[in-house]
Amino acid sequence: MTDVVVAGVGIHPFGRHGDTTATAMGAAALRDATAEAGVSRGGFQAAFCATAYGGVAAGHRVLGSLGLTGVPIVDVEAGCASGGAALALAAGAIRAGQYDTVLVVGIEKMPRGIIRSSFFPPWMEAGGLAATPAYFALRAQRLLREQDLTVEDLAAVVVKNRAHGVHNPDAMFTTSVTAEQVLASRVVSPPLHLWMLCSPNEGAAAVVLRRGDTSAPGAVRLDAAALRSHLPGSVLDESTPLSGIEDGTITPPSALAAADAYEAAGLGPEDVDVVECQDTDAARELISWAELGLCAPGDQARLLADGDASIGGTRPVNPSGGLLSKGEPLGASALGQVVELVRQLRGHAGPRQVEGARVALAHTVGRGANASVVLLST
Amino acid sequence: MPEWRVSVADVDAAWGRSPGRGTLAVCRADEDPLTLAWTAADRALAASGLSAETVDGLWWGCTRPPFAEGPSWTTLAATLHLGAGTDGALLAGSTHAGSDALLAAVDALASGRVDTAIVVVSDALLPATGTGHETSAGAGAAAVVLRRGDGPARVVRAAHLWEPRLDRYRGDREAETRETYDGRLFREQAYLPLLGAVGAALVGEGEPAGRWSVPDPDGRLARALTKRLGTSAGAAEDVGSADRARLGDLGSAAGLVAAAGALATPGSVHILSQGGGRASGITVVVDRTVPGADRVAAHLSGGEQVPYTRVLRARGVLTPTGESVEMAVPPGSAMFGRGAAEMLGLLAARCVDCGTLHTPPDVHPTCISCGSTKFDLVPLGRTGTVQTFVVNRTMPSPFEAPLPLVVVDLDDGGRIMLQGGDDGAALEVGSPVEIVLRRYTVERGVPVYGWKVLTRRPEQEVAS
Repeated sequence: MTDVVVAGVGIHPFGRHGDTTATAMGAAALRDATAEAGVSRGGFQAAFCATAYGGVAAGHRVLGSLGLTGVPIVDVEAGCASGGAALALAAGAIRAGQYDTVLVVGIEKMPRGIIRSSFFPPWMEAGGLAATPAYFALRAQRLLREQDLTVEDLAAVVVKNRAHGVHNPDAMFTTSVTAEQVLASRVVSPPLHLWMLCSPNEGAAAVVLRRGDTSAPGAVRLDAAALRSHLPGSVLDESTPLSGIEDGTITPPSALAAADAYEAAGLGPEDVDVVECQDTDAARELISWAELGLCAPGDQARLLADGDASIGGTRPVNPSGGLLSKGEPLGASALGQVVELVRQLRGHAGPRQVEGARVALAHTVGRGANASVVLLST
Repeated sequence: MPEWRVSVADVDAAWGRSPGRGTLAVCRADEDPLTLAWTAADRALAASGLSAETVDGLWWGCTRPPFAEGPSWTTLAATLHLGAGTDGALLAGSTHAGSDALLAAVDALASGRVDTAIVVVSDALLPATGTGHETSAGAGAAAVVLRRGDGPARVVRAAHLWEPRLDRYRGDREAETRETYDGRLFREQAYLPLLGAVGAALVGEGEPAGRWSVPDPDGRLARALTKRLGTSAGAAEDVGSADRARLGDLGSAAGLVAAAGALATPGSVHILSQGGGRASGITVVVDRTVPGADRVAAHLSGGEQVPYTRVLRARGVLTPTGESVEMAVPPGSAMFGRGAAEMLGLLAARCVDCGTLHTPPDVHPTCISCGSTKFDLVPLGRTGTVQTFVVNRTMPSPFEAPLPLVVVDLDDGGRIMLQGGDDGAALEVGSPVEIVLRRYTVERGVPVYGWKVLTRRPEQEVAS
């Protein structure tokens, strides 16, 4: 199979940036990524732009601002997995022989406050069913009940990720927190407190993919980029509307995407050294561990207590601080994970470096339902 | 009855008046005369032992139907699963509407036009804020199922009188009902003479006065009228006085609400009503206990005491300013387009081939289980157990926390996610719940109705 390498990455810090436009943030990230890859006008054949709120021809605005138009530019939307979807399309086109070098950029400038989803039939929105944290909480309630986890375990996830985020200048929150502080924050939808929820925010990330030689020192190989949607009837795993089939019997989309990615890469969960996974809320991260095969269902509490998922542990999860530290600009979040993992694999992650990381996994899941899993290695 | 009770003293205190006595039944923001009417009609139908398919008439009396013009009656009919050919009418215009509805249904049955009719009366009076009317206006509903032929009770007599009197009224495009201009004039020239005369016409010479359901617009008039209704053979019994002290004046619903409990005991019950200058009396003879009447007292008791300010919020009088986060209801509920019937009927699409239930039907053209495209539209059962739930403590405008969301595994096999209908404090995974009709919101003047989940108490009887 044709090898795909990550030739360059760039990121615009995630946060709130006043009147800085999504286009300007995307241009900043893409300028860094192309500079790192040594790509300029004429040096690439296509561009994909991931965004959910960017509006018509968002990618054209980003590339236009840099004078890079002329190639095919396609906007990609797949909820929280938008960036993973754009990466999968770019990698697929390179492997198919269509292009040699492709730019992938993700941008977002989210509205403030609780996300209102237009995903629901209007009468469900009128019924107050569309506020997203409530959805996360329904899932979290069930998780705590079924896997013997506690609200303190959820707080521990926040403590871990926020401790990692202290060392990430691109994160929105760069202070550590205690479990007591997390549990003292406002209850939004039980069991979720405010600090257990990531903030919708703004930011951009960019990746340059290239067909190429993976044997060069420091080269980061894109082993797989898989995208899946939910199977019919997968009830409590982001898929709506609800239906009559028992949810527990249906494989969730994250597990489907992980299986695809592991198979394509010839790797298994045991090979993975470092993970960036979807922590929209603290419970979502724990669910993701099991769905990605990183642990057996029910092992989360032990792994948390042992520090296995912290930097310095056996397999750190979310060394960037995760979405709980960075916030979640939908179109940019998945590519932000890739930027982090490329830096980890290159050994350029500074104080949050995961020593000896060779294989890395990035995971997103969200509205649609969509789930993406990206495997990278050196 | 609606869920809430507010004390008259609390209302008086807000306006610096000396405290009055008693409580009033008032609506939550998600209750209105239609949801009250649905609850009463649903219970009456269940008590009658008849199915909705056998009903061919619906008469509804209400001074405040949810639409000034529009599909009020059809919305109620859809939520009750009545047939497409159902006869009937919505009677409005004054508090006399309750009697209008009852007599219209009796006439339709007598003429042979219909065989089985639901008569429902409901009201949620909306008094002008700060007026004395606020200390008497209540809300509630009652319903009876009438059939042609023999039954446990009969309507035997009716009498009418009218005078063109301006009593309570509400002008076109006015939101709140205005009080009687001159209370004394109303008492001496309208209320006592008209109702006294129709009352006298119902009771024969030398007969005992018996039991009466009398309207009481201000909390004082009923006593004077009841005294006047006594005969040489005995004093009149006002069957509604105790409930009125706890519920207030129920407008066009007052007559039947007060009489409903009396249908449990054999004997005559006289129902008086007045409004818009009209006065009517109807005599019902109870031969044996009317099914469901023995449960009326339980339905009229209880209720959650709430502060006056909460009532004002529910009525939209007290509104927040400076909302920082807007999460407005989308422009285009099901009431504006396709899907109204399935929303109001709590319908599911049942796969003809494998039986899987899909909700809502319009988003499932293909069975998610077997891929079939053949469905039957069926009403979902209204009882089930909690699969998972959450009581939101923070909600964006216009929603208010606490707001429970509940995923219910229905007893008939479906699964549905709905809003909780109360504060959700009693919810637990696995606990039994029932699904009830409530008003979600009012959007561009259109009330949007849908279904909510309430915890089912073990002793509570539920019609499904």
